[in-house]
Amino acid sequence: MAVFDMKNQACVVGVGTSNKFGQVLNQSPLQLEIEAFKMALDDAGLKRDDIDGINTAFGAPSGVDYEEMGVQTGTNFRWCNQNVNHGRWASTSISTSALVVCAGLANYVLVINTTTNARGYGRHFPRERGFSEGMRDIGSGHGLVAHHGLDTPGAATSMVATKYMNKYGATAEELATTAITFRKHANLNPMAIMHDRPMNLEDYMNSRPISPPFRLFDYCLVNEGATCLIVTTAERAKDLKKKPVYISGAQGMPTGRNNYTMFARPGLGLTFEEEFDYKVPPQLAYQMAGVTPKDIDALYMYDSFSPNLWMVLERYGFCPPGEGHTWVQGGRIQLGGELPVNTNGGLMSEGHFSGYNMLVEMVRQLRNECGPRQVKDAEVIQWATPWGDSIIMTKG
Amino acid sequence: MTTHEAPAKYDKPLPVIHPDNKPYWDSIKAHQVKMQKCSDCGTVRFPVSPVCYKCFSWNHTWVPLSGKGKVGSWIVVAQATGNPVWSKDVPYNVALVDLEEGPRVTSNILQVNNDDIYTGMPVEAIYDDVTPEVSLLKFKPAAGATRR
Repeated sequence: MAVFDMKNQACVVGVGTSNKFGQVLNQSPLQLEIEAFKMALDDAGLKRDDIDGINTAFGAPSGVDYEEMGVQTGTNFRWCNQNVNHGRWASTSISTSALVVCAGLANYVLVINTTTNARGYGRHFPRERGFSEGMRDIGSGHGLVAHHGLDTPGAATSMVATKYMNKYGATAEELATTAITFRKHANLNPMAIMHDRPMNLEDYMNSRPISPPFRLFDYCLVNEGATCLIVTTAERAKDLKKKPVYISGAQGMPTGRNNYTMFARPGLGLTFEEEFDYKVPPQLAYQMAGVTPKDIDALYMYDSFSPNLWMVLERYGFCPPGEGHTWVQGGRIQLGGELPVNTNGGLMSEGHFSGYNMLVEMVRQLRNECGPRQVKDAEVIQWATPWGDSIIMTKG
Repeated sequence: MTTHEAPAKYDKPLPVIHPDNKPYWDSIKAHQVKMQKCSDCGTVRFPVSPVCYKCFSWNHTWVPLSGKGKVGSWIVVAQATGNPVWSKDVPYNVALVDLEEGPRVTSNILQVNNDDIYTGMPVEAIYDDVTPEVSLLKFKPAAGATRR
């Protein structure tokens, strides 16, 4: 049993992004990251010198490290943590920051990250020939095995999609719903890289096959930009500019022999995992927040590839295993539907900022700041990844 | 002084061979599949590990497998978007093969038309001697592997 009830003890009090998101921005990662930092400070009503913690990630292929932020912005951090820029650490960056402020190791922690593109700023760095994780004995968590030509997360996830679609009889038209819905949402979001670029079923079907069943539009974007969230205690949040957004429930990044393939729900039998009938285990994030999937007003999920949505819905129990592909049809996941998903446009159409952009959107939704894409009366919002970590935020 | 080596003919990624997995790669080079079998609980394991993932025991022997299995799932890559060395091979397949003895491996099915691969297709091991030092475990359709 926990010695400390984490629910609602910490909050997000400020959010920001680089001034632009784009495929290639021709700006330094540090410039982008400072834009996000300043925007988040203004949003929170804080000053640089209030900030004393940083929880950042490095990579993809080159972001900004904690030392650059200390030296080049003149911020004095007394608590720093740095991991690798992967979506798998996004919610954990929030939950560890929450614990850090509650423990008094820092007062205000930045969760700050920059993504660059190998065709953009990343061109200055040696190009990694395929994911080096694919060279491990276990391959990569996406399922990559480099010496057999399975060397991109997309190809590996098309294996997940094939397995699922054959097992449950899912169709290409059903798969299209993810990308088309998120594109609709992006067209309500001026920051989205695919804003003003509508897509219909015909456009989707005509996009080129890459690793069937995946077409181009089953993939997320590759891009540049930065995000920042500021985490502090509920007590300190009372004196700040805006109503806080509470961190109400969390569960960490799991891994194990049968919970390995990033973009597959357990039980599908990918990579070396066993195939079995999946039953939703108790989810700590719901228990901590005191909610169930029925209480979730909007869902944000890691949509690097289109079937990830089915995996998330089934993993957490929004629908029974094998039914995600039909459950999402009929407008259910659109703004105004039963469970709006990725109202910012997601990684597919707003941009791939490792999910931190969805965390920013969650905060803005819970403050009723999203204008034409606002989820009406949003009070409980969940971030959920296909591999099992999650965070639940609630309105302050 | 710089020495110039002739470029290797095989330009694709090769496995990283180290003390833990060397017996596996030695067996493939000898055109046999050997994997670790736990001496305590009998589990045949893959990927290679110093300990049994079921009972955590160090004790194991390297045992020969039949090389027979079934296709669990497969894909056909249409465009190589990772390492460009794969571009000349598209369309090529990658398959999950469930081996008779339990482990599942990721590999390629050779000597097959990609359109003829199906879930449950029986396959058997073949060995691709890609360099003088390294062979890869691949598969071909087994006798009787006609389409459903």
